[in-house]
Amino acid sequence: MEEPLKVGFIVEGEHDRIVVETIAGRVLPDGATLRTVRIGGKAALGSIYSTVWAFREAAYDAVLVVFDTDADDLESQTTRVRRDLERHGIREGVAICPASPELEAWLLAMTTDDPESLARPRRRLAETLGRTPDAKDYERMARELDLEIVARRSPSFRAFLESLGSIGREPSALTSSMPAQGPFDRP
Amino acid sequence: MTGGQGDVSPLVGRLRELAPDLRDFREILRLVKSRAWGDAEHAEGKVLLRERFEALRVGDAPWQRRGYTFERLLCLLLALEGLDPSPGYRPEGEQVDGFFIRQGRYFLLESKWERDEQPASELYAFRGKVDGRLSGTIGTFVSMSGFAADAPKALRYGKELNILLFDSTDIEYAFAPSCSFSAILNVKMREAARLGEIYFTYQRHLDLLRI
Repeated sequence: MEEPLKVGFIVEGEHDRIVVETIAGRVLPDGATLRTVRIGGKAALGSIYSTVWAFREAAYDAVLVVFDTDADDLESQTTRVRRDLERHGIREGVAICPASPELEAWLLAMTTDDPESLARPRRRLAETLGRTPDAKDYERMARELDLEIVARRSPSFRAFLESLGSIGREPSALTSSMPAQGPFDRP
Repeated sequence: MTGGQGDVSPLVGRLRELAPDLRDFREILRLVKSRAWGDAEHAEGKVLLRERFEALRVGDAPWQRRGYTFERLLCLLLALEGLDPSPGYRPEGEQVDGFFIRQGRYFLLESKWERDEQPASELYAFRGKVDGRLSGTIGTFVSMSGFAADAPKALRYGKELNILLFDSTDIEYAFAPSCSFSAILNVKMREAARLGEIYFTYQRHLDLLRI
């Protein structure tokens, strides 16, 4: 019998954890183990290699790194994270999935054709709800997302979804956030 | 905590009467340091400090006032944990937010509660203060709004590490009944020694235990 998948996530904070685990729970096979390490903020991205090692030592099948690009360029941030990991001998089994410009843009993608052009999606989300969203709001929104529509409208979400979808197939070399094939596929 | 029937511990009683902006914190600091207090008094004292912290978090005090109150609150928390803190002081030409001692090591404290993340320049400035102290002194930089993405890395390369970074999640745990500033400091010192990481949150440590 095949072992259930074990998938690790590295994110900035609690709301990110809720969103990625909820979406992963909808996409991955039943019984998959999902564990998330919250690193606090992008300031800690330079040290995630040790967390990736920890996931590997625990025999996780894949690790996905999700963070907000904010105002910075997605490709350059992805490259920086990838190079940091490669410097520590990590070249496969990890997908780098920045959310552009913030993960909240994914949640707002049902309300706009171009969520990645939104300025300050986190603030926009609060304005839409009329209050600061709490954990239950994040969970509900992630659960109710139409994944196909969001993937069509948000390239960074599409890349995240593709990374999730390719887990369980043979692992491949580390890729950027927008691979031609899934980051965990053998080329 | 009662010393007898209907009696309230002087420490707990005094903490209950803390001014909203903690302007009377020095008197309480002297009280905390004046003698050994029991576990129950420490526990109840911490609950009272946590209530003040929560009130500060949800309140709408101007940033500067919030920052001052937070600095004083932290000082009281450290005192309850037996870290012998000194409140903020001004040596010539600079401002130091606090100082404490733990297990024979000396720590400078910088605490910030501002709107924006702390940039690398603020960490450099704090590092300058720490570098001018006795060899082995460690700087603990607390920022409730976090740190700019490049800040920790800029401090790390090719230099002796003498700064540890605390963010809001660390402080929330520090005020939690089941945790302490000391426990969080332990984790940070270990990871700074083991990996050279000056920004390693307590939350990350707990999450790794669950992998």
